[in-house]
Amino acid sequence: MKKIMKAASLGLAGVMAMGTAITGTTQEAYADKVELTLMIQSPVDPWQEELGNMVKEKFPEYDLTLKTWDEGTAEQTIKTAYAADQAIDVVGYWPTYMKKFEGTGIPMDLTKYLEEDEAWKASFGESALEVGTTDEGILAVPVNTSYPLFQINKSIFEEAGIEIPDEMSWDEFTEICAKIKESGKTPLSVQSDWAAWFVRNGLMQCWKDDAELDSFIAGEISFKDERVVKAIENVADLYNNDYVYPGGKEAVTTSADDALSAFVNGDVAIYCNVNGNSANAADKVGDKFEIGVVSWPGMAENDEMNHLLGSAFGYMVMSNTKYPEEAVEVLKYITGDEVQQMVADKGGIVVNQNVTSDDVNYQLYSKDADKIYPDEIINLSSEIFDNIVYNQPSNYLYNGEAAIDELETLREAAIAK
Amino acid sequence: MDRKVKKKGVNRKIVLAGFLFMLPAFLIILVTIIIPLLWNIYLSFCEWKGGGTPSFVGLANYIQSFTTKGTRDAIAHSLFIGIISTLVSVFLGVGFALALYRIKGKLSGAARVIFYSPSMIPMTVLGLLFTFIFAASDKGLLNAVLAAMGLESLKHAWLSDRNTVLWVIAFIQGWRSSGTIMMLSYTAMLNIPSSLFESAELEGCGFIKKSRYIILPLIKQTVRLALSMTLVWAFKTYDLVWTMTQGGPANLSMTAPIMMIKTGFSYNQYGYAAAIGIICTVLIGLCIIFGRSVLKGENYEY
Repeated sequence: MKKIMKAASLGLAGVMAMGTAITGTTQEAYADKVELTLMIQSPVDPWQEELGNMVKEKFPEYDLTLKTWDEGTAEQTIKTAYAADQAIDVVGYWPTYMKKFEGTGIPMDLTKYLEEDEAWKASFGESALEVGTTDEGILAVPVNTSYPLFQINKSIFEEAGIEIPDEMSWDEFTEICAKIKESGKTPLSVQSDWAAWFVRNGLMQCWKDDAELDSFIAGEISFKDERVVKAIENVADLYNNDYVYPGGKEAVTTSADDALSAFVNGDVAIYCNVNGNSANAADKVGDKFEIGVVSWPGMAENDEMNHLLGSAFGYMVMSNTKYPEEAVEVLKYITGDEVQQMVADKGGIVVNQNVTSDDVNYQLYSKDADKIYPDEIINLSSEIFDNIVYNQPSNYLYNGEAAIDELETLREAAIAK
Repeated sequence: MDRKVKKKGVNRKIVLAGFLFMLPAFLIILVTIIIPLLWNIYLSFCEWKGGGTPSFVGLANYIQSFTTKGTRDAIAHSLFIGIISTLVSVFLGVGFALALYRIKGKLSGAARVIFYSPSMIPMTVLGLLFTFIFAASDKGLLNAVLAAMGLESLKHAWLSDRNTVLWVIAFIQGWRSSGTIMMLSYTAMLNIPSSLFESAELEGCGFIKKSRYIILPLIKQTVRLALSMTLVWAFKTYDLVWTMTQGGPANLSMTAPIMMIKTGFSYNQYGYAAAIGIICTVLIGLCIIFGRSVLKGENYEY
């Protein structure tokens, strides 16, 4: 028995020693390999799987870890990783909102790399890179342009006797909503995350000219200004008049699935969508009814102020990357012609100037791109960003003027900083 | 005299061995709890953006915590959820344990699994599940059931109304924790000597009287422990609130943990977030002391 135990012990020791040796060899082999972590795939993008496959095929020599990009937690993930000194080498974020990272040292300045590669820089066009540029340099590069639009159920419009417009003023929009409601249908559905688009757009359009808008964006005009209050009240009225599915102010909590399914099932006439996701919604509707595309309604009193909120999604490289050259190489590939053509073929509206598309809807879903104004009041501080993007119009609906007071306090704090 | 010296020497060796055995656990606690706690206390007196050197700002972060309505509300919401869900979990948990103790036999095993099952479900899954149940539209299960029963007037936007949202979250959190309380209480009940019940039965006591005069007083220490545990769990509720409401709408269900994460990771105010954390820790401690003093009583030995 003792001999058997001794033999078994020796055997186990041998296996452990071999295991350790093999592990050591493998680790040495991996030590020579470039390890990159990429957080570039969003589950809501129809091209996410192919994007991952293309990157893996393009860089077989790299040890790539692909993480899912989530809108709600992206910022926290980036900052937590940086605080723990872990690099997410290439990561998706909106270049429009890079001011949120100013002073943190997280994004790497890409200016040098763009200057060295003129063809890459030229692919973004003349002004697209401005959105990701701050006082600290070019911190992120854009890949697509996002802005809101209405997808409408033409049948409901026809049944209610409404002529389908290409564009509409706020008054025309509310008249249409009233008519649709009278016809027994709900005028529009908007998911909770996107409800603030009405407020943000209103806050860009309610001024007499761009100079005044810029003053507001710089924090020089109070949130208590009657034009600001009126813009927010206009949006609140949509909810108070039961124009938004499923009705009442509680409609500010409608989930993405509920908002889309209400439109797909023919319960609502207008679906508030983002241009890049329009093809996806149209696919879900199929041949149930004909869809039209209408521009976001405006509160502007003159053509000059007919701006549209919008942002550019893009990518940045974290400054603590161990492999900056390799990370930029991956960045060039995913923002380059091959990948961006694939994205455009799948319905994405891309920034890359070398990409073409024969799809008629591609033009339709990008028709308002030139209306996008490059800056917004939400960029004044993270607190204002959070308050408007995630808590309006719900804050005003539930708390009334106290919501305006809160915004004003945040503005004063931002100016004081 | 020699004997005494020898005895002392042996004791020292035993004490030293004891310390050595405790050392690994102490090191883990030091690295994962004590150092982060001290760092958090230090940070709460500083301004720090997540990079660079923190700059000392004294009590500014604490003053900001008490003077900012949003932060005060978030802490108050956490307190509300903590207290209500603790009460719910203790009442449900002890009630379930009494039911188990009463029914015994084969059915008891099945009932134990059923009562304990909420504790086994991940919080995020539970949150999503109840989001569908309490959804405001007609797709919400509860509203659909009420409509089917002809109780249209009771249909409600449960998660969007300031009068209901915190109650709903607190009840779910309490129901979720009740399984653990049940197990702790039930185990304590099983340790009560049967002779005590025999005497009570001879006096003609039914189950309700036995519960009131024998079981509940004897498991009081376990309930006190359970109360502290559930209060800490409930106060820290993050995942349930995040999956159900994300603190909205209009911050109606914003809790201290979500506020801390937003303040730190979205606003880059790590010192302020640390101050909120310290305030919450002190509040939890006070609640535990209060709860335990309410349930204070004689310790029975049997």
